[in-house]
Amino acid sequence: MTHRHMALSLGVASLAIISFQLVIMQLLSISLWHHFAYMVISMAMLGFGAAGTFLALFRERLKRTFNQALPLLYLLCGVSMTGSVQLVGVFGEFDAFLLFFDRSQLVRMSFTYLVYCLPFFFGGLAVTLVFYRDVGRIGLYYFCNLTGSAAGALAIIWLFRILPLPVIPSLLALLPIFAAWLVRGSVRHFYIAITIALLFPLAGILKPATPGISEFKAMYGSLQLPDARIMHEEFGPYGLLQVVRAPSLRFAPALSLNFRGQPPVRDILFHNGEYFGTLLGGDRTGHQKDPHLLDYATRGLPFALRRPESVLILHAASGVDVSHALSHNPRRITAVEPNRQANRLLTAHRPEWIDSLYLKPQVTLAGNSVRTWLSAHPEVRKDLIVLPVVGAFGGTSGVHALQEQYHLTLQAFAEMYNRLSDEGMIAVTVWTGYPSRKSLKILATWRRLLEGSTIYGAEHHIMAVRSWGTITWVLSRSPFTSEEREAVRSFSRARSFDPLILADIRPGERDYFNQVGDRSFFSHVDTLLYGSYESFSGDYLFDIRPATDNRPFFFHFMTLSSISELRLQYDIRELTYMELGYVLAAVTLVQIVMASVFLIIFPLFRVGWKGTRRRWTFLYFAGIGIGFMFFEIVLIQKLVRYLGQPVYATAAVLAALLLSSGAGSFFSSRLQADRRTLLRTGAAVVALIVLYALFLMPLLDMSMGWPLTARVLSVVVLLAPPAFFMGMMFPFGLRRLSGSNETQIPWACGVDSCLSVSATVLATMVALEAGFGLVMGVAAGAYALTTLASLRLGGEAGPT
Amino acid sequence: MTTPENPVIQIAVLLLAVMLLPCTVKATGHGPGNGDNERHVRLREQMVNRQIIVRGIENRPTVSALRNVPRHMFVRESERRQAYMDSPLPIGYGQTISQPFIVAYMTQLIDPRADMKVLEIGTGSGYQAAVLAEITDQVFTIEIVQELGRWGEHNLRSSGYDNVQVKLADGYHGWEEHAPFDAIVVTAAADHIPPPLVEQLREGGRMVIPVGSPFHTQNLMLVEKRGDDIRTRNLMPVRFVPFTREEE
Repeated sequence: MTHRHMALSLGVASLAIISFQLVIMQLLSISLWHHFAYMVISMAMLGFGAAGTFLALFRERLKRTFNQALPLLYLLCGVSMTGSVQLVGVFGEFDAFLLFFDRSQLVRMSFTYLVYCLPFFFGGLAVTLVFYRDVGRIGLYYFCNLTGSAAGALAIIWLFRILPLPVIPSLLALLPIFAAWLVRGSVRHFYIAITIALLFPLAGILKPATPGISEFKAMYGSLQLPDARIMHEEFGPYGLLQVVRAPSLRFAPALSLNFRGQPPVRDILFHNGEYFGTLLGGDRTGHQKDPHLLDYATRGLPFALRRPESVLILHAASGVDVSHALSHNPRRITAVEPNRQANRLLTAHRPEWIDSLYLKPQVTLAGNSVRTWLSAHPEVRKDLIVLPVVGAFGGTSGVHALQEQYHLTLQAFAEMYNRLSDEGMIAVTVWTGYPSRKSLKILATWRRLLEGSTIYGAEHHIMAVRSWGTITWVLSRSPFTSEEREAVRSFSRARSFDPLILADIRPGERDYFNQVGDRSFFSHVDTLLYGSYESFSGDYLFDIRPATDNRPFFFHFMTLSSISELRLQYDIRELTYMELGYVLAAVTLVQIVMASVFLIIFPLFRVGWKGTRRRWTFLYFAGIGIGFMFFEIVLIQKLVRYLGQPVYATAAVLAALLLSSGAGSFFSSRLQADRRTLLRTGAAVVALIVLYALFLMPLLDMSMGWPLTARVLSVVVLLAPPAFFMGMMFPFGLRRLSGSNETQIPWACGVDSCLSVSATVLATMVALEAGFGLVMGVAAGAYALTTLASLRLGGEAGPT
Repeated sequence: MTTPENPVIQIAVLLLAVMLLPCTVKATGHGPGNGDNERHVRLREQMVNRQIIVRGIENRPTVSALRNVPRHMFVRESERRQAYMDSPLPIGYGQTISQPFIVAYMTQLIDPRADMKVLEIGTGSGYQAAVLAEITDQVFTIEIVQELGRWGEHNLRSSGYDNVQVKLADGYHGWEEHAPFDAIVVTAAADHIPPPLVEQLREGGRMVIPVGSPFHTQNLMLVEKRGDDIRTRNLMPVRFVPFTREEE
């Protein structure tokens, strides 16, 4: 085999490996929830780390049998790509919701985790084996490895567009098999082996494994209804869209008990197994057209107050709120829906499903994220801005605690407020849940927003109406008039609703029709409205401080400090389901730490840890492991706001960091690895992280209105400098060890891998608790530690 | 030389065979009951004393019903050991059997008497219907998920509850032939209260609906019909004091 073939094989395999990582993220988002994305990154890191340890243990044997081992590893990588998806489908599919009731789910979760590690293990072993065998051409090989990886992160987005997700793992598996063919040399029985290997992707293409959906997702429930069927199904870069039809799927969310008609039967559009929107088109069973059905819910409140001429609907989904607004004849409606796949379906392919709502002359549909649209339209003024309904009937057990909600942050509301006309209003409807959290957080956010705009007397600008299931909140730029307050009373009475906030609220008015079990809810509302809301937020058992762009987790309410107090009132398992996302992150962290110690660190004891200054070696590489992954994870989470979609953010950040850090590593070979260089490089990394923590998002905000491709390119360019210097630190460290403490090299790699694996989830948990600022701070601190450790790393006379 | 004895090939063939297996193997785990024995009677007694009475359930027929119904006959085989624990349990299809206390609380709320006619929406495993059947003469229960309904009916029959009528249908429309009902217990609620159920509730009747996500049911909603006036009351079975400082 020539070195060109070898280099090409590395590029091809790396492309497949990174693409596969994003494929698993999509698969787990469909079958479970999006927070497993961080688990996928750690799976990959674990696979790579275990490969490094394996190489350290068996390097001589692998080097001797290199010509046979390399194609075999590529083949195993390809086979395990398609095989792991199928194996998990048959044996391992776990349901995160049942984790605390069914112990076998924990085993299944571990099984899933380990099986998905296999392609990364075999791929990582092949790549590191090439590096190890042919150190002289490391520059070329490393370049191919990283270029291939970066290309993989971007190419997969294109593949998501053109191919159904279930066949992609099998197609990707062909790439490592092709890599094996490139480096086949004269291996005996190679053609038999490659033929067998090819049978796996072939089987996967002929019989692709469709991801099973958790039985606790809305989609699963709807399919249990009699005569339910999937009318439409399509995969795309945004995930899986499915339309379900069943004779018992009715549209009447939180309908007034006074409604005496027949709620219409309607199809439902699901996105990754979760409710996306009801398709209001057609008229199969008595569709209430006049007035609109939502006028019998609290969502009718803003239209009972005023007659908005210009309406902005955020996260419009299938257009339910657009249909509602249209029934009140406004002059102009702008609907913002970031899921372009759904937009295309409902405008180009099946507009009749929603009565061609988005094609009506007075409606404009924008395929942007909420923040992107708001930033790109600073001049518009709207009479009404409607946000999507917050929460779901019965609650969601906090599965969305880890999901960034950039449209519900203080800064998002400030932008919306600035887009209001003089008589403009913001409306948001919240499903009630107990203990009260979501509604109180909305109120706390608005109160702070008003005070930030030096508007006092919040009760004149905020209004709320409560039904048996929902509360609709309205924030007005101008104070509400007494006529408007009477209109709200009349609206509420006719529907058995109760006003919750009115400037002249009367005794007994708040719970005439709908009594609450715990009346302290009203006193909480009053404290947040009239009193010292900041001290209230500090004392309340749940974290109801406004979500911010620095900590955009609106559905995260549990704090570490409140757990012991909550424990007194709730059974531990019940408590778990109060914020499942948070607890799952903690469980994942424990599992990941255990797996990485077991698979990466323990085997290294076989080679022993000898030499001097081991403490400094540990600190140097631990700092790199934590610093790099904290930086990567926080960037992915922050850039969701800029790029609109988690999958785009992940792809862009991975591509940018891999490419630039690879270039940095490549360039580092031209420099001397002396203490001064290490110190300067480390200082540059720390300084850049601090600068980026302060100025990256404000800088990106200036280009929020640019097209997606331009924004992705901006990310790639802007992330290049820190990634470039970060990429130099690892090879510098290894080179210093290679001259003096060579036996510490496997340990250095092991410590780096182990902490990288753990840091992926740990960074998310730190962000939840304290915000992105602290995550960036930890990243900078970790690199500062590495920089300090570099002073004592390696022998006295470090090599060059 | 490559022969069929080659372990690599054997493993490959095995893996390939595994891949070609159907991908949707999913067992519900519903099986026949184990019968009632002394151990179960003791566990039930403990359950009633530790979970029901101490939390303020005083309605005698309710307490007695909880003491009599073999809850372990209404859970999946795999969860049988946990049947009398203080928590809900999964029964498949995204559904749960409620925590014993919730069942007791819902039953007490409708103030059950022997001469009452009760409708239950969402049979599930049949446990709530069995508790109601211990007290009242006529219990009607409707389940929309066919498999669950059949399993629930099997559990009821094998536990000897013949005064429960089970219908596999959409509970949305209620059971008009037997209306009006003195009480309606909705154990599987949707995002709205079906107008037909409100209509089939007798004047002065009560409807109970649990509101909460799986494994975390905390509050119940009581709907009372008084003429044209329909009022709701949210009740919290778990006492929750969220404000941690002294009221100012």
